[in-house]
Amino acid sequence: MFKEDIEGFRVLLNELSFSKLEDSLMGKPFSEMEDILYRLAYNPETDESNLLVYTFLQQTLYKKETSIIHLSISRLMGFILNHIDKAESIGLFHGLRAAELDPDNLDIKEYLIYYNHIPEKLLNDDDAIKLALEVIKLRPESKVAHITLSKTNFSH
Amino acid sequence: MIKILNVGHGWGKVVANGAETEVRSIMSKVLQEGVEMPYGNVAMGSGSKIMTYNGEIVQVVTNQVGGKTVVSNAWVITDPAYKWQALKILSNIK
Repeated sequence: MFKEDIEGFRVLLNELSFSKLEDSLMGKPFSEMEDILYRLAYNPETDESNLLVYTFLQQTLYKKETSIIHLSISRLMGFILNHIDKAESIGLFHGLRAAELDPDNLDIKEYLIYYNHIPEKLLNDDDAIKLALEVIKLRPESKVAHITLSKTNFSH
Repeated sequence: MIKILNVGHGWGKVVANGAETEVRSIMSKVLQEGVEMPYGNVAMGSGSKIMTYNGEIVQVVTNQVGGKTVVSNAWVITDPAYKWQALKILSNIK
């Protein structure tokens, strides 16, 4: 990704030209678009954050609510902008909605278990174990699910 | 970094006053010398490393941002089940 490309996207984002930004990103594979947006949200070289990416993604949800956008917002808030107070709760909210919209997606279930591993334990043990059981039924090799299920040996 | 330093992340167990410089140094050490512990969904670019430090186990979580691996969280493991799993990995118990 060229620096000047990122700068162009950043200008559009900062001047709230969301339609133009969307047009510029359209046609790219989703993972590339997500990479660009995450890079705009957080610059690891300067440690700068930009919450406008959250607003931009929210705006795409207004047009069409999809699991993939909810998941993208969830990862944005849960992993990338999680230094902002309550961002992880927003991440969990969007992750749960992604799971509601795509209930058979095991990747999302594995991902959600993250919210039980963090010290804040935004996802309680019972819900994490329930998710782990759902995952392990169809993905018996899931290490994250196995680790989570070990909680049953420690509970009560 | 402010979030990582939260009291709930348990740094007081391994460094006096949870000083930021020391925490940064520990995190760097874990990334360089730590052992991988399964975390989140690998396909989404999540990973974590663990290491024993001052008698406790520190976990550092990374994710991909624009093709770069960045630290997204870190803590001293206090949950007994996760601590046991981390100990098993560190001791290489099957």
